[in-house]
Amino acid sequence: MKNSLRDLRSARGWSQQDLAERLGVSRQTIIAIEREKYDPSLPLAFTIAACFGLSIEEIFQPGG
Amino acid sequence: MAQQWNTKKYLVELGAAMLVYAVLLVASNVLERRLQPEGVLLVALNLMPILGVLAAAWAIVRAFFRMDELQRRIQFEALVLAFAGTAVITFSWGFVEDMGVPHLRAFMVWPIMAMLWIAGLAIATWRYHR
Repeated sequence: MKNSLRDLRSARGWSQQDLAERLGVSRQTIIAIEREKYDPSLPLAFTIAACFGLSIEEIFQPGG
Repeated sequence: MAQQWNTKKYLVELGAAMLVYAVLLVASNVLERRLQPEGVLLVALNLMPILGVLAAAWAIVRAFFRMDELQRRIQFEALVLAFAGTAVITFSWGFVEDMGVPHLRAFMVWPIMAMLWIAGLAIATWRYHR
């Protein structure tokens, strides 16, 4: 799955650590999602979407 | 920060458990020599250090439930390798024991599993972070 997490995070001026703390996950998990090595679970995807005030489809796209 | 706190908490809990294990191991050896017990008391004294092992197991389980979803997945993949690898090694060893290779003590099984678990952690971590 493709995602625009890195761009969204950078646009808000957040570090990977900042985002990890907001989501309650490790920085390694943020790195893996940004590199598209790991697709988050549906609950975590909803938490990410809520954190950015977007829908899941605006952050995650099929493919990759 | 929360994840770093979790790691510190785990290390403190595991360290305390290992300290309990070491103290009980020494105490059981000293008491066995001094009291020279027999029967049930001897078994109880020999099993005393297991209380430390149980405490370590409790610390590990608590740490697992504090992990996030990717950390749990990495642990799961590492444990699958350790579980399957230990089965292959111990069964293979068991078969060749009939041909005269030295007997494998039960004490050796966990170190084998632990080494495979560490290798599994390295592989799974690499898979998600390369």
